[in-house]
Amino acid sequence: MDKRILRQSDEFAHGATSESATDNAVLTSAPEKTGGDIGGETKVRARDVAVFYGEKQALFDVSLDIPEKAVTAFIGPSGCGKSTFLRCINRMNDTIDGCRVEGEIQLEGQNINAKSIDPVLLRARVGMVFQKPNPFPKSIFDNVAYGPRIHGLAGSKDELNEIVQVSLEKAGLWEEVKDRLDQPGTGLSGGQQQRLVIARAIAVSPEVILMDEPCSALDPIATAKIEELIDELRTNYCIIMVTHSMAQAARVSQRTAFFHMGKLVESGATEDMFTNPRDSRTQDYITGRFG
Amino acid sequence: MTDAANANTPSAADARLRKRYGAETRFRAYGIAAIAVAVLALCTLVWSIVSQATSAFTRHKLVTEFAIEAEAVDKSGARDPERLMRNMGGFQRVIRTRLGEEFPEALADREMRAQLNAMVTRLAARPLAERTADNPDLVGGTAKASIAISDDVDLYLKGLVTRERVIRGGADATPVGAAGSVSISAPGAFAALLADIKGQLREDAVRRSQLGEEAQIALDRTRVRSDLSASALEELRSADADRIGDAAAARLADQPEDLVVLARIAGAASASGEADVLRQALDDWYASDATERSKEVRGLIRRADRFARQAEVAEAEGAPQAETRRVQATVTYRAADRALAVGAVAQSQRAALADADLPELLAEASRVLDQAVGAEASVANATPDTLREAVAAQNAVERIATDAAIADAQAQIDALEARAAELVAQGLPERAAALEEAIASANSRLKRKQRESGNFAETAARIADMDADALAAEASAQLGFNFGGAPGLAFALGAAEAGGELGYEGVRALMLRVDQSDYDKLQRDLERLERKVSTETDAASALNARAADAGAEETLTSLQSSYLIELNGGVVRAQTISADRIVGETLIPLTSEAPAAARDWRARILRVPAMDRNVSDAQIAWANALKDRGLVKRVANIDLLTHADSTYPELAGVAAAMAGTFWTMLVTMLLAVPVGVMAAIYLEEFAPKNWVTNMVEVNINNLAAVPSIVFGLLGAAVFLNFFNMPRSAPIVGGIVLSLMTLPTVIIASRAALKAVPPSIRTGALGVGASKTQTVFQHVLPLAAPGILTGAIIGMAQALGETAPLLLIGMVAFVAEPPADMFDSATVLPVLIFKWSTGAERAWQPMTSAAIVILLVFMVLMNALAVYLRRRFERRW
Repeated sequence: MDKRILRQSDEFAHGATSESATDNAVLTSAPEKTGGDIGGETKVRARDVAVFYGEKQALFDVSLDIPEKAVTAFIGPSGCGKSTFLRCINRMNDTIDGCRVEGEIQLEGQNINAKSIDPVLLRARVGMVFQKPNPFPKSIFDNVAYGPRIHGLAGSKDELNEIVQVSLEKAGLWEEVKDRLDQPGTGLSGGQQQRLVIARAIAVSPEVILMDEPCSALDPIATAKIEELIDELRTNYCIIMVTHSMAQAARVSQRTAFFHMGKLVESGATEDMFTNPRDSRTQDYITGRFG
Repeated sequence: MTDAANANTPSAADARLRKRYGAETRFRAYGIAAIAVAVLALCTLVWSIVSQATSAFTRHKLVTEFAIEAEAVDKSGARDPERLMRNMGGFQRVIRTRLGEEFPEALADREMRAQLNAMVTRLAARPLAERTADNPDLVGGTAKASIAISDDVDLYLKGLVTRERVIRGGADATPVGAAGSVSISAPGAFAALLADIKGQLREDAVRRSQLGEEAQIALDRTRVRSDLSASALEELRSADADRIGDAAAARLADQPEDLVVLARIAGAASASGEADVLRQALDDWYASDATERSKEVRGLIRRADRFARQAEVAEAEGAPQAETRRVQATVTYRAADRALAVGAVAQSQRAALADADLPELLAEASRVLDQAVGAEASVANATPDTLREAVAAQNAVERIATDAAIADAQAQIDALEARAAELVAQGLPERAAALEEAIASANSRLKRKQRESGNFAETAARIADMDADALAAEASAQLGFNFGGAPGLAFALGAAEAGGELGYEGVRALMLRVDQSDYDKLQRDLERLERKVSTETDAASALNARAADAGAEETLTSLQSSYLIELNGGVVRAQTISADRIVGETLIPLTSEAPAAARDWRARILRVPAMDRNVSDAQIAWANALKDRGLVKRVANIDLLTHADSTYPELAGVAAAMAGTFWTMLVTMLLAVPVGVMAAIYLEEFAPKNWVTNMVEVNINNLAAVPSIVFGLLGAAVFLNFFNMPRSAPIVGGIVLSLMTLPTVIIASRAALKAVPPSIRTGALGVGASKTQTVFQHVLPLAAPGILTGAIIGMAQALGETAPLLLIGMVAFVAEPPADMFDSATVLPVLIFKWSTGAERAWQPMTSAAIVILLVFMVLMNALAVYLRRRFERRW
C-alpha cells in the first residue's frame, strides 16, 4: 500500500501523464508474470460445486483451487457457467429465487455455505464488481463510505475520511475526484464509475474481489486503466474475474480456468493455458474456433 | 413468384415506402384527434363550471353605518355579549330600520313592508351582532357592517334573474303626482315601450293558439272514445240474456275469484231458496280462512319472539336499538293476538252456520263480502212504480247486513277480551295491555255500525212516505254506496242464472249504470275541452288584434313583463301605456313633479313577468336605488371560504366542509400511506413468490376496481354497527377512504419499487449490505418519488369521493367546523352534492364555486406530486 502511494506521488512529482502510468504498470507487471508466480496459498477451494436454477442444472461438479494474491480469470463462451460459479463465491446466488448450490466452497478452509456463515458478512469479505458500473445514486464519498459505515469499520469521521481516500487512491481515482467528493457518483464517466465501484469494494477491506466482466461496458482506454488497477490490486487481494477477452485474460491473469457447458474443462497457469492447452476444446476456444 | 420478383423493383419499394409513410401519418392524425377531443372536453367542463361559479365569488352586500339602538338589541341594558349574540332578531330590526330610513314610504303599506324586510334574511345580521358583542359599547351608537342581501336580490343584481333592457328617455317627461298613482306625459317617448309590449302580445298569441291546437287534438280523441262508449251502451241495451251473462262474466274475470264465486252462489241461493249450497260455500270459505289465519298467527308469533329476544340482547349490551326492537315486538304480538281473536270469532260463526236459515246465511255472505248484496239489481232495474218496493228491499238487506256486522264486532270485542284475560292468566300482562288498543278500535267499529244501523232504520221508516224525487235520491245513494262493487254484480248474475224473478234485466241494469256513468264523464270531458279550445282560440285572436293595433293603449298585468320608469329620483311601475303617456304607481316616490329632461329619465324593461320571479318589482327598484346610492356594493364573497354551511345560500360557505375534509384526509393519509407503502415493500422485496403472494396480489388489484360505495357499505356495517364508532365522524370517513385508497397506494408503490434497477440491489448486496439495508437505504430512496406520487394521487382520489361517505352519515348538515376527528363533519364533495340538490336558484352558482374550490385543491395536490417527483428525482 505504502509503495503504491509513494509511486503515485512520484509520478505526480514528475508530471507523468496517465498514459505513461499505464505503460509503467504494464512494464512492472510483466516480469512477475513471466516468473511463473501463480500466487500464494489457496484462498478459495471449490469442490464438486453444482448449481441448479429450478430444475435446470447450470454448473456441473466444478472443483477448483484459487490462490491468494493473484488474478484468476474465468473464460469460456456465453452461458457456460463462469458467472454462476463466480456468484457462488460470495453467495449472491442466494438472492435468486429457485437457485440451489451443491458441493462445497471453502474460503480459507471455512465452508461458506455452512449455516454458521452469514452471507452478509461473507460479502464483506468477498467483494464484487459487476459488468455494468453500478455506483449508488449518492455522492462519490458516500459511495465509498457506505460499506465501512454499515460494517462499522471507521471509529471516527477522520478514520472514515482516510478509508475513503485510501480506497480511492488504491482504485486510482483519488486524483481525479478529490475535489468533488460530494458530487454524484453517477455523474462520472463509465471507466471512472467502474473504478469508483472497485474503490467501494476495496473500502470494506475484502479478502477476495470478484469481478464479473468488469471491462465489457468500457472503452479501450478505460479498460486499460482498469486492467492496470487490477494488476496493482493483486498484490494485496485474491482477484477472480470473468472475462470474454482472451487478450485481457492473457494480459492480466496469472491463472485461468476454462468453462464450457457448465463444466470446468481446464485450469492452470495462464501462460500454460494459452501456450499449451491440454484439452482440445480449450485449444479451439482460445484460437477462436468457437465461442 | 412474380410477387417476389416485384418486391424488390424500385417502384414496388416506392409503393411500400409510401404505404408506410401513409400509415404513420394516419396514426399521428388519430393521436392528435384523440388529444384534441380530450382537450376540448376538458375545456368545456372547466369553462362551464368556472363560468357558473364566477357569480358566486362575488356577492352584493349592504355596506353602511347602522344605528344600534339599545331598545332593539339590549332591552335589559346588561351589555352582555352572549345575550347580544343570541338576540339576532334585534339586530335584524336594526337593519330593517336602516332600510326603512331609505324607503320610508314602504313602511306605510303592510305588503310593501314585508317585501322590504325580505331583502335581508335574519341570520344575515350576524356580522353586526358579532361586532357589537365584541364591543358592547357600540350599543346606543353606530357601527359599520356589511350585510349580505337576500340571494334573490343578489341574483337580480348579477343579472341572473331576468333579461333587462334600459331605454333612455326620448323626450322631456312631465309627471303628474309624486307618490301613489302617477301619470307621466312625454310625446312619443313611450312608443318603443309600446312596441315592445305589442311584440310580447304577439308571442303570447302564438303560445295560446298552440294550446288551443293541443286541446283540439285531445278533443278529437275524446270524441272517438265517447262514440265508442255510446255504441257499447246501445249494444248492452239491446243485448239478450246470453250476451248479458257473458258480458257480466267478462267484467268479473279480473276480480278476486273466491269473492265472485261466493257472491254468485249467494245470488243463486237467494233465487232458488236452496240454503245448503251457500252453507257449504261459506263453510269452505271459513275453512280456508282458518288455515291462512293460523299460518299468519304462527308467523307473527315467530317474528315477535325474535324481536323480543333481540330487544333483550340489545338491552344487555346497552345498544340504542333496544327500544326499537321492544316496540316492534309489542306491535307484532298485538297483531298476532288480534288475529287469534278474529279467528276465534270466525270459527264460532262457522259453527253457527250449521243451523242458520237462508236470510241468515245471506247476511253472513254479505258480511264476508263486506257489502250488502241482494237487492241493488232490482233498485237499478226499478220503474217508478216498483222503485219504492226495490228501495225498501235493499234497505232491508242493508239493515240485516249491518246487524250481522254489529254482532261480528261484538263477538270480536268479546274474543279480544277473552284473549287478554288468557294472556293475563299466562302471566303476560304487557301483551294483554297491548290488546287494549285493538279492543278500542273494535269498539269504535261497533259504534259506527250501530250508528249506520240507526240510519238505515230511520230511512226504512221514511220510505213509505217518500215522494218520487226522494225515492230516486235514496236509490241513487244505495247504488252509489255499493256501486261498481263486483260482489253485487256477481250476486245478480248468480240470481239470474238460478232463474231469479228479476232475471238478466237486473244484471243489465247494474252494468248499464257503470257504462252510463263512464259515458257521462266522457261527455263532461268533451264539454270542458270544447270550452278550452274556444277560450284559447279566442284569446289568441284577441291578443293578435291588440298587437295589430299598434297605437292603442295597453294595460299591463303581473303576467307580462314589467316596465319601470325612473325619473326625478323615483320609480314608477307602468300600469297603462300609450305612445305619449304612462299611468302607473310609484315604487319609490318622486322627489318633485318637475318635468325631466330627455336624458334625465329612463325606462327599464324586466322581461320575466313579476309572477315568475322571486324578486318583486319593488325589490328591484329598491335594489337599483341602493346600488345607485352606494349602499349596496358588489364585494368579494369571502364568506364562501369563512362560513360554515347554511340553509340560506347568501350565508353558506365551505369552511366546515374544508375542516372536515382536512381531518378526513389526515386520517386517510396516516393510515393508507404507511400501511400501503409497507405492504408494497414487503410484497415486492421480501415476500416469497408462491401462490399465497399471488393470491394477495390478484386481490389487491381486484380491490382497486371495487366501486367506492361498497367501501361505504363496509364502513357502515363494520365501523358503525359493529364497533359502534361515531356516526358522521372524520375518523370513520378516513378509515373507509383509506381502505379505498390502499390498493392504489400499494400498486403505485410496487410499480415504483419495481422500477428501481436491479444493479442497485446487487451493488448494495455486493458490498455486504443486508436485505433490509439494501431496501431502506438504496431502493426506497430511489422509489420514493414514485411512491409519493402514487400516494398523493390516491389521496386526491379520496378527496373527491362522495358515495362511501354518504353511507356513513357524513352528509349531515354541519353548521360548525369539526374540532377534531371525532366530531360530526361533512366533506367538500358531499357538500357539493348537497348544494346541487338545493331548491333555490342561488345554489347553482354556489355549487359550481364549491366545485372550483375542490378542483383547486386537487390541482394543488397533483402539482405537489409533480413537484416532489421532480425535486427528489433531481437529487441524482
